This record gives sequence, structure tokens and C-alpha cells, in this order.
Amino acid sequence: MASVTYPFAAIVGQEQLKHALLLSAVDASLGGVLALGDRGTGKTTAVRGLAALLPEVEAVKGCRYNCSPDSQKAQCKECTEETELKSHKIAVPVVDLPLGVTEDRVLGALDIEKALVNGEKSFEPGLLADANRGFLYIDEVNLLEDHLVDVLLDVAVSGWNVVEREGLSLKHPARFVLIGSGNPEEGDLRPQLLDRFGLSVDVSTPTEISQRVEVIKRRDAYERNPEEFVQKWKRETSKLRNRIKRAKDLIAEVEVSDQMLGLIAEICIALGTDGLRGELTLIKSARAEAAWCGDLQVSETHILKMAPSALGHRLRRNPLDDSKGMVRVERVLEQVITDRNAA
Amino acid sequence: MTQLNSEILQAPSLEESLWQDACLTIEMIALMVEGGIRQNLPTLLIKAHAGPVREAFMQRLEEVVSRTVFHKIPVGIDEQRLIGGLDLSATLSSGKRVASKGLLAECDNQMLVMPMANIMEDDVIAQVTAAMDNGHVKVEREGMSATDIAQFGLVVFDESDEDEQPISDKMKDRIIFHLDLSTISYRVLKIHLELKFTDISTTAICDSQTLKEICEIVLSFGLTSIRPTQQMVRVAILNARLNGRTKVIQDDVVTAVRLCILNRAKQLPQAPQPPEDMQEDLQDDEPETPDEQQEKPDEEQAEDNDSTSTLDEPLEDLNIESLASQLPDGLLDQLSSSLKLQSKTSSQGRKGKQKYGSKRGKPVASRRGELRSGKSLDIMATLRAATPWQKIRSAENTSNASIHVRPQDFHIRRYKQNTETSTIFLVDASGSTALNRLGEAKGAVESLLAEGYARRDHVGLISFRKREAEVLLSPTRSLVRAKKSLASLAGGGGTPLASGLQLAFIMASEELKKGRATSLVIMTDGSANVALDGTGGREKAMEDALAVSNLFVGAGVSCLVIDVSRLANPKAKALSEKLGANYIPMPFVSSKNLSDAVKASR
Repeated sequence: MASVTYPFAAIVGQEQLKHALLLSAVDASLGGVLALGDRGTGKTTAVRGLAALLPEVEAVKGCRYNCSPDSQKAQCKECTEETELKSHKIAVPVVDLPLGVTEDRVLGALDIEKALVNGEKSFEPGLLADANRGFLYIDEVNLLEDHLVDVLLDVAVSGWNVVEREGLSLKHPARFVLIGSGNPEEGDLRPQLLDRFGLSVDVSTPTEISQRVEVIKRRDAYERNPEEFVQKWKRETSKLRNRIKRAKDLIAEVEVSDQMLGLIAEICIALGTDGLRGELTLIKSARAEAAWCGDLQVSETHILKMAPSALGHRLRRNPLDDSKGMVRVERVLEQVITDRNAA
Repeated sequence: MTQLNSEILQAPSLEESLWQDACLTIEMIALMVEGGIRQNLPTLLIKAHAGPVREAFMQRLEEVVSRTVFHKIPVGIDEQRLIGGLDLSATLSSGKRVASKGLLAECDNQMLVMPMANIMEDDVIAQVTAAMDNGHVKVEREGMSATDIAQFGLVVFDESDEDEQPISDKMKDRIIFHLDLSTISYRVLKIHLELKFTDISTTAICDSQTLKEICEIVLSFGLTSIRPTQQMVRVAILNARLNGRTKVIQDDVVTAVRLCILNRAKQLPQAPQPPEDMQEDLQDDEPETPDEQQEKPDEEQAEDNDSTSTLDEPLEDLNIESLASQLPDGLLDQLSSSLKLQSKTSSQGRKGKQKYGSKRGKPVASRRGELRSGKSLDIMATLRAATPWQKIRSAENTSNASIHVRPQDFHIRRYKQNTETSTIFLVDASGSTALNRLGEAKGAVESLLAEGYARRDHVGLISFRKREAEVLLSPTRSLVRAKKSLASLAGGGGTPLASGLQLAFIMASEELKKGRATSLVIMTDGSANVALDGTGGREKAMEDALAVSNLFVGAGVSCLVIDVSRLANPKAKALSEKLGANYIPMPFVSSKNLSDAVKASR
């Protein structure tokens, strides 16, 4: 509850979740992360910690949508019309979509104050504008009302938020990494929304006593003196931050050979995942993983590591096999690899 | 033995020791709020109906936490009141955006009471727990964006009866003290405990060995979340402080188990098992007495002895086994029977799909929409939406209307209702394996009914054999009735699939009319050989069956075809495609597989 966030680097365990979040920071186009799991596993802590970890980005000064000064294509109207853009460094935005949020605050709406006082019709950007070029975090994503989910999906696909209402007519860029967390016991997610997330991870609390003791100890140290705790973890934090930077620089050069593309296709066919999104995500995430490891070639190891989280949530439900998606993916992976080696 | 333990041993009844615990909890809360509520945020869950015991408890609590008022969250509270929003009238008169605070933010640094929390809406619970996590309420509503500090103490009442849904785990997980006053009679109230703590320590520590043991204990009660562990450490420290100690000892840990862990335990310590198997196992293990706990694996003890060598004496024999012997008599018995109940009315059982409609149910926030027949306009919300535009519109408009409302402003009232569900089994009772199949279907019906209580499921059963179909059980929620009417089953003969489907359609339509979400489970190999008119002939029979299947197209019945033939039968597959159904081959039907498949397909 302190004003300083708990450092990402100090989170005990939860390797899968941390890894997925880091990769989505390396490649924002991965499609975000869905973290499903038990109560009290530190899902929220991890997401908030990520925000503090990310390297700053260049943004146009005074732009309400955090436009980048460099990419003309993804700029708002004001920025494209401006000839000389001044820019400054900003922290990567991480925007919370709180429970009970209304549609107008998500999409943006008429600025009430200006309308009441001056009778002026002006647009007040919503949370989607705030989240542009950053992260949009939805805790309890399964409790979100359907109509809001529809709105979010629509914007997430196009990267643009289009507002049309009584002469308020504009569109602004809204590219964000969607991060959702929730407890599946409290309600299912619609398949469309599931598919929208690039990576999914199951989180569970560590059952090993020593790890649990460590969680409690660090938590206690943090609560006693947050500033000191953050200071203590400063080195680890900057290590991670540098690694993200390096991976981001490297990712454009990472290559995926035809042979590896073949492997990815085989895995997806063997799993019977619907649509191409799974395959694309697996390619992208394997590339991000390679960059994260400092490799210039995607290898089998990268693919195998990413397949469970890239594909686990895209499997058709099998009523007779209620094991989790991840487990099923791993079973198939084993099969594919043995077959390949045999051939 | 220390003071606390000997007291328990002397205490003649379970009731009295429970009341003592309740009083001890109050002392701890008093200690917590000493430096202000916001610093320590006491939270408390009490299982109790309204009555003298609860009243006496609350009175005492209010005396102790005298620095603050206790605010109530009423059951039907709306979102605006709970988290806040735009204060329209103030905004209009001042010409500036004025926010109105919600109840949660108003109660910052004060105490909140949630009566009947077990029937509170999911979203209210979620709002409260989100505020507990963040220490603030984030409001993004109606063109307004604000973050209000909301750090409150919380008293939650769980007033569920045995067969009702208990309070949500999400809430339980975030609460420190868990008490059960429901079994205490008012007679024990005469035992008035005076403040017995005179020498209170200002701080106490919990060393790593104790911490490790607390972690083990919490896990052994089936609580995997990390929060209960943190909470138990806090309670143990509080107890140490109350007793004037600067270090947590065994007594503190035992007390903390009672106040903080026992009433939300998912399992009893001697049976560490994965939660999935828990329900069955608990039903099987009838007698679970504290004595059995002696059989706790030795390794745990060995491990303890190893690592405690350097530590102080009192902790030496602290393990789960000794823990059980230190709890009041009968407490574990009570717990084990309540665990059995919990497994029946698991909080995971959903109440059935929630449906948003425009007519019945509990009102929820209205939404912008078109005004069509059957919908009603939320005038207040519509006016709210129109308000900011008034100046702009009157400037644009030549008409002299005093209020300008446009269709875009229309807000439609919406209601949310929990729909009941209805599952109809249509079972092929022809041929030689029919009896077995029927038996398993019967088992599935019974298990769905047994588990479905909290979900308000209705289950019906139709079989078809010889010349026509027959209703064996019209949709019911009563397990007893189902058992009675399914006592005698007959099998063998031809396969009048079409007739079965027809009867199923009639039954399903009736269920739909009652507003239930209806699903149909068809168990067949698909090889029809009796036509609708009762004549034989495979071709005609199949034709009829597919024709009747057309009835289901767009009817809103979700169908599941279970192919019971040894090898997947293309005819059954064809039928499922026609019905738009899920298709599952299940050559060896068992009632468990069957009910799982039905649950999964919902």
C-alpha cells in the first residue's frame, strides 16, 4: 500500500509470468499477457512492478496520446500536422482499467467542464488514449462487462480509437499491450477474448516452504521500509532493464529459418489450434525469446519454451480431458519432437 | 504450559472457548487500531446470523474501537454510491467538475460493516477487495477521473445457511480474523472477560524458524494463497505482544491458527492432498477425529528437530500433530463436518449464467442504447448524459426548448438475473447395452442434481426404445424424486430416435419458456431404425430423425451428442452437426465422465 511499487526483480518464483511480461515488453506486438490463477499469487504485484522497470520512451511534448515523434503512421492528427515536434522522455504508461469503469471514460468523451462553462465542444481523451504505447492492465478481466470487452477488442485489433458523437469526430492511436489477470473460478472468459491475448500463463502459489518463507520475508521487509527495499533491489532492477533494452535492439535482426517455421507449423497442426493467430504468436514470441537470450537465430529451444504460453489458451475444450492447456501442449510437444527425431 | 493453554483445558465447553476467542480477537483489534485504523487495517469475518451473540460481540467491538463510527454497506448498494462518481448538481451549479465520494472513500480510516456478505453481488465484493488491495479507489466514470484514498477496517458477516453458497473465497483470502459465532448460544455471554492484558509489549518478532513453521501449518490446512500466511504471522505477533512478549512462541502460533486459519481451512492437516480430490476424499473419510492426527508423517517432525537445534526451547515440538492436541476439544470435529458441507456447496459452483435483460431481476447500471419496444428509459441517466451538452445545443439550436435531449443521450434500464439451468438427458435405451447405459445416465442425473443445488439446476430424463420415447423424469430439482422415478428402468428393442428428439424438443421448449437456460444431452449411437410413425426401416427412421433435428436450429437449446458406439459412428456425428451440437465419442460411458462432460460443455 506504500507509494513505492514493489520491485519486479524481488518477486519470488512466478518465473513463467515474469518471463511472459518481460517478453511482452520486448515486443509490444506480441498481443499481451493473460495471467490466470489462484488468489494471492502476486499477479497484480508483477504487473505493477513491470511498469517501474520499463525503460523510458520518447514522446511528443504536450501530446495527449503519447505519440512517438518518429513514426508518422501512428500519430494523432495534431502531431501529423505539426511540422516541428518537440519530444521528451516519458515513463512507459501503465494504465489500470478499474472495476466499474464507464464506457465514456474508456473511449473518451465530451469534456464536461468546458461544455458547461463555455459551451465548448471539446474531446476529453479516455483511458485508451492514456494507454497508447504502453500497457493496459485489467485485473479481474473475467468480471468485465461484455460491452466493454467488445469495445476493447475492437480498438486492440485496429490500434485506433474512433470516436463519433454529435460532431465530436476524431480518431487517435491506441496501441497498447493488453494485460489481463483473473481467477478462472470466478467466471469464464469468452473465447474471443482469450484468443486476443498473445501469451497466457497459469499462476499458482509456490508450494515449497522455503519459497513461501522468502515471499513473506521480502514482503515484510518491503512493508517496513519500502524505499530502502527498492534501493536494495536497485541493481537487479537495472540489470533487467538493460536486458530489455538489449533485447529490444536485437529483435529486428533475429531470424527464423524455414526449418523452424516448419516445426512451428507442425506443433500447431498437432494441437489443432484454431486460426493462424496461434502460429503467428508462436513465431513472434520465439523471436522475442531469442532476442531475450541474445541469440540471432530462433532455435528449437526457444520454440519449445514459448509454445505452452503461446498456445495453451487456444486449444478447444475437451470435456474428457480437463487437464490444463499448458499440460496438453507439453504432451503434444513431446510427441512432435520424438516424431521429428525418428524421421 | 502457559496461561492461555491451561485456560483452554479448564474451559468446559467448546462454546465457551469459542467465545473466549472472539473476545481475544477484540482485544487484538483494539491493539491494532491503537495507532489509527489506517496503519493496521483490521479485517474480520464472522459467521453468524443476527442475534444476541452477534450483537454482544459488535457492541464490545464498538466500545473498543471507539475512535470511529461503523458504516454499513447495504446489500443492494449501487456502484455510484460505493465508489463515487460525478456530483451532477454541484457540477452544474459551480460550472466545474465536482466529484462525489463513494462510501468506500468516505470510510477511509474508519470501519466498514458488510452484513449478509454472502449474498452480495460479485461486483460489489470485487470493488471492496480491489480497494483493500490498492488502498484507494480508482474512479473512472462519467467523464470523471479520480483516485480516492480508501483504507478501512472491515467487519464482514457471513450469514449463509448450511446449504447456501458461502462467502466468496476472494473476500476470505483478504481477511485476517475468521470467527464462527453461529454455534454459540447466548448463554455463554454471561462469561465476561475482563481485560487480562496489563503488560503489553510494543513490538514482537517472529524468527525464521517460527516463520517456516507458520508457512507449513497454513499450507497443511489447504490454504495455498500467500495472504493467510502473512495474516497468521501478524496475529501471532499480536498475541505475543498482548502477553507482554517480544518474541513469538508456540502459544502465539496456536492462537493464531484458531483465530485466523481454522474457520477457512480447506482440509485438515493430516490429509495433505490436491484440492481436486478433496471433495471425494472428505466424503469418504467419515470419522476425522483429532486422534487420527497422530499419524502425521514423521518426516515433518524429523525436519523440525533437525533445524531447531540452535533455537529456543519452546518451539521444539511445534508441529501439526501437537497443534491438534492443543486446540479445544471438538473444534476439529466441528470443522471436519463443516468441511464436508463446504464440499457440497462449493463456492465454485456458479449460480447459473447471469442474464442481462430489460424486464426482470436486479437493476444494474443503465447503458446508452436505443429506445425500442420492451425497453424502458432511465430518465435520470438520460438527463445526466444530456446535461453537459445543454450550452452547446442551445447555441446551435433555434428552438426554445428548455432542455435539449437527443437520442444519443438515451440510457436504457437493464436488469441482471441469475438464470436457472435445465439439463435434459435423452437416452437411447435400445439394444443390448441399453441397461448399462441407462444406469450410467441415471448416475449422471443424480450426481448433477446432488452437486447442482447451489446452481439451481433442473434435470430431466427421456428414454427411447421399441416404438416410441417415454419421459422417465420430467425436469426436477429434487434428488429424491429423481431417485424414485428412476428406480426401475427397462431397455432393449428398436431405436425410435426421431420420436425421442421430438419429445426432447417439447420438453426443452417448455423449459425455455420458464426462462431456464436449457441444454440437451443425447446419448446414442445414432443408428435409428424406427421412424416417427412407429414403422421400421433404417432409411426412413434416419430421415425423420434429421428432420426433427431441424426443430432445434435456432431454438436456443445447447446440445451435446454423446456417441456410445464402440467405434465412432458417422451417423451420430451427422446428427450432432445437424443439431449444431458438441460431439463426444464415449464408448465406455460412466456416470462420472458423463456428468463431467455435461458440466464442461455448459
